[in-house]
This record gives sequence, C-alpha cells and structure tokens, in this order.
Amino acid sequence: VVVALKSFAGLAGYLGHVAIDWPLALLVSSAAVVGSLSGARLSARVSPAVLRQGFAWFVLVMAALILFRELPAGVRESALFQAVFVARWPFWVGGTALAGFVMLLLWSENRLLGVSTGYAELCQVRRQPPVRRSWRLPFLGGIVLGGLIAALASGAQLTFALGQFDSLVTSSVAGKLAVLLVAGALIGWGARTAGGCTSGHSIVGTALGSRASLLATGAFLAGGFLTTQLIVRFL
Amino acid sequence: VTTSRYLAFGLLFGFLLARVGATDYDAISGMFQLTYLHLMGVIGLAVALNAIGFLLLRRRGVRARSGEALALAPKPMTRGLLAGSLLFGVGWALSGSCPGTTLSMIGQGKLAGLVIFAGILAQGLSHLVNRVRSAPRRDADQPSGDGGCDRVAFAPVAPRAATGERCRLLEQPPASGYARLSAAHFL
Repeated sequence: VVVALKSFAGLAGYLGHVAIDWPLALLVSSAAVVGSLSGARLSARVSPAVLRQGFAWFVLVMAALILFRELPAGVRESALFQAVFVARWPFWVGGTALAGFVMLLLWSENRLLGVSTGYAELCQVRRQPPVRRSWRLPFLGGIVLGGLIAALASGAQLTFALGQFDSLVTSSVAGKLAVLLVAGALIGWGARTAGGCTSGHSIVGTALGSRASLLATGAFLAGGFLTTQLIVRFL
Repeated sequence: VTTSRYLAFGLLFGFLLARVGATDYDAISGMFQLTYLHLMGVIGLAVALNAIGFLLLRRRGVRARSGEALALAPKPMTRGLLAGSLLFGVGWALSGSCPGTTLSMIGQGKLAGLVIFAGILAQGLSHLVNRVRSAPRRDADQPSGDGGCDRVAFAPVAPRAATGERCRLLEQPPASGYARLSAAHFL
C-alpha cells in the first residue's frame, strides 16, 4: 500500500509534463495489483524459508536475463561464448558432460538420475494427506530453469514450431495439439510401465548393467525407430 | 537449502539437455532416420563413461559425500516393461522429446513442450477418471486407501518409514496386477 501511494504521488507529479504510454502503464500497474493481491494470499500459505529461496532464484534468473541481454557484442561474438552457449556441443563434449553430471549427482546427493518418476510424484502433489516431498520435484523445476537459461543465452524465441515435425507430421495447430498430447500420454504411460525413461533406464540403467534397463532401452529405440520410419515413409 | 540444491542440479541438467541438442525435434528424428546420429553419440558416450564410472566407484568402494554407501541398485524387471518401453519409444519419436527434455523445452520457450507435458500428466487424469468410475472396487493386491493419481508407482512406504528413513518412493511398482491396472488407466 505504501508503495502504491508513493507511486500515485509520483505519477501526479509527472502527469503534466511527460508523455505516458498509457496501455503499458495500465498493464504494468494492473499486473502489480493482481500480483500483490495474489502474493498476499499466497504468502499466508508459504513458509518464509521457501519464499526466501524462491525469491533468491527469481533474482538469479532475472540477473541471468539481464546479463545475457546486455552482454557486449564483443563477448557475444567471441568464439568461447558461441561454443558454450550458442553452437550445439559436439557429441563427445555432451556425452562427457552428461556422464559427469550423473557422477556428480551420485556422489554429492547419492541419487541416480531419473526424471520420469518425478512426474508420477507431480501427480501426487494435491493428494491428501500430503506425500512427503522428495528431491524429484525441485529437480524437475530446475530442468525448466536450465532450459530457460540456455534459451536466454542463445537468444532463442518463444515458438510453437517444432522443426521438421511441421513438415513430417502436421503443421495444423489442432493436429499438432492432438499428436503431441497423444505422444505425451504414450511417454507418460510408457515410462511408468517401464519404470523409467531415457534418463533412468538408458543413460543410467544400462551403464549399471541392469537387464531391465537394457531391454527397456532396446525397446525405446525400436519403438522410436519404427515410428519414425513409418512417418517418413508413409506420411 | 536441500530444495535449492536439487533445483540447481535440475538447472544444470536442463541446460545440458538443451546444449547437446536433445530438446531439438530434428535431432531426435534424425537419430531415428539414421541421418543425424549426433544424439546417439551423446547417449552412447555417456553410457560408456557411466559404465566405467560405476565400475570404478564400486571397485574402490567409494562413498557418497554424506558418507553413505552409494545407492547403485539397478532397476528390476517388471511385467509390462517391454510393452511400456515400446510405447514410450513411439511417443519419443512422435514428439521428439522425453520426460526430461520436455521440461527443458518448456524453459526454452518451445510451446510444444507444454502440450507434451500435459499429455504426460494425463496418466494422472486417466487414473482419476478410473477411480471415479469404479470407486468402491479396489484391486486386492494394491494398497488400499492410497488415493493418489498414480498409485501404482507408489508402493507402500511403511517398511522404510519404520527404519526412520525419509519417506521415499519405491522406484518400481509392485509387479503383480500391474499390467492389468495400467492398461485400465490408459483406456
């Protein structure tokens, strides 16, 4: 409320002699009002510790946004920046990085990488009585942030395009929605039934020498190969 | 603080997935078309290095940072694993994404990721529908009173809770009756 009063006082002072972009101003102030109202309701439910951590992450991501946006052209065009943030990593860098990541997660947190189980947990969030939270949900949230950072750095834009999908499968919005929903359902159901996905079974499980993971990975690849071949040949 | 640590790990993973091109439909499709084997190389190398890493860790009896023995239990074989994996492969190829890359795609602003995400979560929805339709019936070999959306994946935690360990999800659903139940989810 104090901030709002101050803002209005400030606005009154400027009204006379500055041209104001009214739509933008209205948008910003209404967003602020909605945000602060819902924030007030939310803050009653969320513990201060969580709030602090959340805010810290928010500030970090905003910092990354501003940093990458304001980067001088010299840095942006430097070979190192291009190689790390813009160009696709060569396979040997990517493979080594992934393996290093698995080892780090194992050593530091004693967890084997796996994503799909986290989805099952996400389904449980509203369950009563609440399930004790495990490491998986923050991990999933982090993956989204990681994608965001990657996109901020490389300058990717918001898009509904999906590469060759549009030419190979369908480019109509409705068709795309339907195919992707079905594909998602297959992924979700398949991963649950198989007890893991590309990360848990293929990258970690096979390396552990698990027969289940070897079979699962073989079937992942077989299913994918057949599907793509069918798409390419008959669509 | 633990939450933040896992968030940071997730961030690193999401960033890696994006940088190696795993979130790119063309890269996945190219792998299955055998025209662009980049991701095969990434996954293959990661598996090889992981295998060596796991072997060394086991041989030397390395412990986790916390001093615990490393949790290196492989996933067990379950009924329906083959069918589930095949269908997963179909979804993987159709959408050019898997559970991890979907999240990274969302972060990258690839809106298709949101649709796939919704599809993946549909497993929960179908279970709810299923539950409403046949509310009084309970599968005999499933724990009763477990009203979550994907209860199959969540075996009872009592044995672990008794040892004072954090309530933890079992990686594997109980094998018996699972294929039947999950087929019901899907329809």
